[in-house]
Order: sequence, then structure tokens, then C-alpha cells
Amino acid sequence: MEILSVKNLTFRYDNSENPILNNISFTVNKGEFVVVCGKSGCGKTTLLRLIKRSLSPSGRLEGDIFLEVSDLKIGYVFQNPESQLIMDNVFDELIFGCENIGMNTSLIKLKLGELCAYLGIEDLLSKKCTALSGGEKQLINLAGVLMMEPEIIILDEPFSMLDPIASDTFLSILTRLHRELGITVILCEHTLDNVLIEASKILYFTDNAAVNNLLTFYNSDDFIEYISNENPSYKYGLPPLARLGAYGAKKEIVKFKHYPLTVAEWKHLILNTKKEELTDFLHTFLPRENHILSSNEAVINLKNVCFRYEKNSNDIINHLSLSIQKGSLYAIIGGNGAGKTTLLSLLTGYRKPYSGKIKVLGTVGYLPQNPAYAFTDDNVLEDLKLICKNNHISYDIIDKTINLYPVFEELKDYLNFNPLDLSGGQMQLMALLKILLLSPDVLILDEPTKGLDGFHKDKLSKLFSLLRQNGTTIVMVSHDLNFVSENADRCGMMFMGTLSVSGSCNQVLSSNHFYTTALYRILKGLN
Amino acid sequence: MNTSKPTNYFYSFHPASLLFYYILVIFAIFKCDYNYNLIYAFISLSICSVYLKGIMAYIKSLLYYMVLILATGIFNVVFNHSGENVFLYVNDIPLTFDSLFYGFYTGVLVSCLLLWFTTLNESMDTGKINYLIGTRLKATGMILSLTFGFTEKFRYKLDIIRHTLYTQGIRTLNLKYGATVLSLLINVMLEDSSITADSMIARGYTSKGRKSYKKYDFYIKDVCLLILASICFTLFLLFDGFIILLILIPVIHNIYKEFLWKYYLSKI
Repeated sequence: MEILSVKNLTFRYDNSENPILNNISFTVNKGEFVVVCGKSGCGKTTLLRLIKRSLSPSGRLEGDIFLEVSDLKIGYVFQNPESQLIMDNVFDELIFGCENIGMNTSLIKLKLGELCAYLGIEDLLSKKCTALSGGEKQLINLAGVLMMEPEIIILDEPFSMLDPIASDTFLSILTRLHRELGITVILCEHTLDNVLIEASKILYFTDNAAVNNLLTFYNSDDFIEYISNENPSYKYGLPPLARLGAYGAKKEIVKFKHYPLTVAEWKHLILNTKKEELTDFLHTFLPRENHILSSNEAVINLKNVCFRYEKNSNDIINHLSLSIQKGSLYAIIGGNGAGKTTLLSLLTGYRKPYSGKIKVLGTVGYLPQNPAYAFTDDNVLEDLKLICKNNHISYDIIDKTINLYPVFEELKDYLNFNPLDLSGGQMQLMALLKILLLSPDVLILDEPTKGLDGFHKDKLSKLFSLLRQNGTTIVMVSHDLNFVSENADRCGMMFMGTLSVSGSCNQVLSSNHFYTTALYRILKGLN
Repeated sequence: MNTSKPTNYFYSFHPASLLFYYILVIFAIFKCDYNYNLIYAFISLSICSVYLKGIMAYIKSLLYYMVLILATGIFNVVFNHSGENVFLYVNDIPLTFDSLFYGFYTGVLVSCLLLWFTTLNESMDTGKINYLIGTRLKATGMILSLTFGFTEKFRYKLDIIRHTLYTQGIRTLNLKYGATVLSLLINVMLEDSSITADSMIARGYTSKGRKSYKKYDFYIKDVCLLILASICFTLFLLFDGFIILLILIPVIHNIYKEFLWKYYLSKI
């Protein structure tokens, strides 16, 4: 039974002549798990907002959207877990929707008790929203939506700001809701790891901006086949295990009826085929040690560094020692609240440790988690000129830097834009361009791949290689373990204010059981 | 050393009865008409503060209150020359004991108000205030709740902005720096607010017939508090000194509950 039907939908924003959605059609059946994907700026969020009528953007709409449910029965979870929280404590946050629709106190109490027990969030009820971790915040957002008993839940990139463990927990709850309660889920996401397995329908926006650029796939196999063969520019959007399967099948190394997308399926495949050949094949995908040779000269040295925010608080950084070589890419991984961002603020010199020594040779550039914070002017070009002026650099450096790194080529058309009007990927690249104008010797990045599509992740990866070849040292905090494993040559895992393990990516990720990539999990126990 | 604070049983009263009680207390403070009652109020509020927040927190704030009292006294002497009891002439301008006394008195009054806020904060949180306002003035209640949430967000975002500007070479603390930080802060907060607004709409905030959740039930103990506070206030209006009893109601209630708890434990 169809719960949503979209027919010949075309949508133009008020300030644009070109349609962002051009004559697209699809249907969603009751109880389906639909995944919507495509490059940044292709119209995914616009489509989701048009389905939830109360959030419809302003513009010209042609075509029809038929819904079998009222607008209030469509729950909407946004990307940023923090901004969408309304009240200052969890209890008020959860009952907010029910109060709005005039539900009486006894019914709210009943629903709240039931939902808290179902999701296991009783302990969070008395907490302030600001005291929650990112994963908990997103869970409370979902719970707030569930209190209104939705028939459809729309989620717009809900995992993009969560660490891998929190993402898995959130997805498992979402899957449970879909399976046990039969709720229709429409999920838009860039990182498709684990999501494709659940999908009963995949809606993919192709790069082609022509009429009807939305393709519908009824299983993950067809989608993976299409991306691998017809649209390789989006291949980084595929989960690594899917890419692995596609590559292995093309080279006729692996054979399967359905694409194996889980660690268990791959292990089963290995054990039931030529084990050694397949294991060797998988090993070729592991990161090579020091794939861009870094020099022995240490540009960052930390010795027994301790830091706390207040005199009476606990140490956030606790006797941390670290040495990073020139030209290397060092990744800091770890759960939320482990002290990663605080460590970066110590490396930039913004905060000072109360004990220990920090030595950073050369100039430092820093990119915060949200690149929007890096811009101080409403116009990108003016902003770039301003940083040159503040640091007494000639404006010529702007063109020189754009021409030096080919990944910045696409930014030329957006120099007169407001930075906040750029897509996530473009904003990230633009912020990096701004920082690179200062020619930093050390580049410090906080979650550079957060919210990026596969296409822009690939661009970032190429930029990092070029920067390192020019001798720039990169330190980045990241939850994206696949990106870390493919790009960093050394990494360290933060836990309780110190690096619990530090070494080559291979060493760290192969020694980890939970906090590691799917590839390492497959290879564990097979050697 | 055991630094844990005693349980504040007074917190469990209904917000309406708590509000009524605290309004009576603040009326009583303002009613202390240049007599010993204000000193009694200061001492009683200090006892409340020590009981609820601990001696160390009180000593810290006491230093601040002393400076405040001294400063208001001196300011009053310098700028107000009324009074009969002159103790010094500076350039033929008289400095009087009366003015000094009134200055000190104002300082003690302001300190009492600050102490009142301290004790109020221990029993009335934002949720209770929002509940009281939100049941009648829904939009105002919502604005208050959002504002409470924003304060934390502001602090967090301000730190990120300052960190980012620091690495871009914008470090000098001048008016231009302040303007840049403020403009960036407003930009990102507006961006954030638009998502919060969307989230509110998505959860039916614009629908008609909003009802407030009744979080608090009104018990007999709340009626008792209303009666007791009213009696104490009336006695204070008739006789000096009863302000002590009025202000110490929370402490007396907490001590009584503490004894009761120990009694129940001894019976197990």
C-alpha cells in the first residue's frame, strides 16, 4: 500500500530559474526503508522538506505529492543534533510535540514511560540537553519525534555528526523501530555503511541535471552495480565493503549472488572460497605504511602535557606525549568527550597546558568542525582578501593558491557567494583555501569529512596528498575511520585525556576490535 | 572531608507555593524600614545560604558582599551630603555619618537581594519558572526556555569563534575584534535558530490547542506552606524579629525532614 506518491515533481527556489528537482516521480510503500542519496546540493534535503509540508521551502512547485497521512504524522530528524533541540532539558524536549497537539497529561505520561523503557533512555530524562553527548542528543531528537507516534520518519543525514559507535547505536534503534513497529523510514545519508543493508528502496540523484534525474533501485545489488559501472564519480559514496565486492567481482577474484555488505557475510565468503587468495586480495586494500614518506624531523612535540578547564575540574588532557614528523598525516580518533578537540586547541596555542611542554615548529592553520566559523565576511572573496590584509600578504596569493591545487578549481565560480550559501563540501574546501593562504607549515583539522559526500571526500584526499608532498604536516581529528585508514599514515586513539594507543594506522586499527574499519574486522582472526 | 551538600527537601514543594513564599520573603526584605530587621534578614538568609550551598561558597560570596556594602557606603558619603552628623569637611563639603549609614544600609539591602536569589535558585529551577509562566503565557514561557538554552550555546560557540580567529591572526582585543566576534556569533546563532524554529514547526508548534503538561501536583504540604508563610509574614508586620522565622522556613523544613529520615531509618 502506497503511503507516499510523488508524480512529475519540479521545484525551483524563488531566486533561481534552474529547477533543483526536475520532473521526478517515485512511490513509497507503507513500512518501507527508503534511502535517498546523491552528491551534495543535488536536491535531497529539498525533496525531504517538500514531503514534510510544514517545512516546505519557498519556491515554485509543479507536479503532485500524495500523502496518505497527515503532516503531524510525519516525523523529521535534522542533521545537526544540537540545533534541533528546543528545550533546555530532556524531559521538556520529549513532551514538547505532545503538548503542541494538545495531548492531556495522563496520556503523555503513559507514552513517555513506555517510550523511555523501549529506548532505554530513563537515565537521560533528568539531564540538561547540553550535558548530553552527540549520540544521545540525536537519540533524544528521534525520541521526541516518536512521542507523536509518526507513521513516516524522515531523517536528513542523522549520522553525519556522530562518532562510529554512536552512529551504529542510532541505526540499530532506527532498524528496530522499522522492523518492530513497521514505521516507514525515509533516510537521506552520505555515509551508506550499514544503511544499504536495511534499504528496501534506494533513491539516487544522478549527476545529470536533466529531466528526471532520480533513479529508483529496489535492492542494494542493482545500486552498487550501477554506481560501479555507470557512475564511478560517486563510488566513494558506496560503503567500502561494497566497493571491495564490486572490484573483486570485476577482477573475478570473488563470486557471490548478492553483494556481501557485512563483516559476517565477508567472513563466510572467505571461509567458503579460496581463503588464501581472497585474504591476499583484501590485504591489498589495507593502508600502506607511510605511503607518502615523511621526514624524520619532528615538527610537533608534546611531553607530559596536562590540561584542565577549571582549577577544580578533572584533567581533560592527562600526561599526553606525542611526536609528529614533518609531512605526515596524523589522525586522532576516539569517542565523543575523549579530549580530541581540546588537544587541537593546545596544538594551535589557543590554550596553554598547566604542566608539560608543547613545541610546534612553524605556522599553524586551523579548521574548526563547522567550516562556517572560518568566515568573517558575507562575501567569500572579501573574506579571503581580509585574511590576506590582516596577515600582510599580497592578494595575488588567492589566485596562486587556487591554481596550485587543482581541487580548488570548482571554487572559482563561487568566489562572490555568501559562504553560508555554499554546499557542505564547497564550504569545507573554501575554508581550507582560506587557511592555505597563510601557507601554514602545520594544518590542524577538526572533523574535516563531517557531512561530506564521497565526491568531496575524494577531493579532500587528493588535496592532503599534494599538501604533504609540499612538506605540510597535517593533524586531524576524525570519526571517519575509512577516511583515516585510507589517508593517514599514523594515528592515535584518545581515551580519558591521553593517547591509549598510537602508531601506524595499520597497527592501531588492526589492534582495535570495535573502533576500527570493516576491512580490519574481516581480516581479524583470518591470518 | 565530606563536602556533599545536604538534600534540599524544600525543592519538592509545588512551584506556585514556592513562588508565593519567595515573593513574601522579598516583600518582607523591602519592608525592613531602616531598622534591625534588615540585619536579621541578612543573618537568616546567610544561614539559608550556608545550609543550601555550603560554607565555602558562602564565604566567597560574603567577601563580595562586604566590598559591595563598603562601596555603597563610600559612594553615598561622597555624593550625598544630607544629614546632621558631620564627621569631615572636604573643600567645605560636609561628609556625614547619616549618609554613610544609609549607604551601608543600601549595600546590606542589595546583598540581601542577592542572597535571596541564591536561595531561590536552589529551589526554583528554569523548569519550574517555565511551568508557572508557560501554563498561562505560553509564548513567554517558550521564549524563556529557549533563552536558558541559548546561554550555554552562546558560550560554547563563542569559544570556537575565538579559537578560529586566533589561528587566523585576529588576536588583538580591541573594538574591531569585538565587532568581528559579535557579527560571527550572531551569524551562526541565527543559522542555528532557523533549524530550531524548523524543529519546532516539525513537531507541531504552530498547531492550535497547545496544552501544558502538568508536571507538579498540589499536595496538602503546599497548602501548609502557604498558611505558615502567610502567618509568619503577618507576625513580621506586627512584631519585629519574625522575619527570621519567615526566612528560615526552608532550613527548618529541611532539618525536620532530615530528622524524620533518620527516624524512619532507625525503624527499619
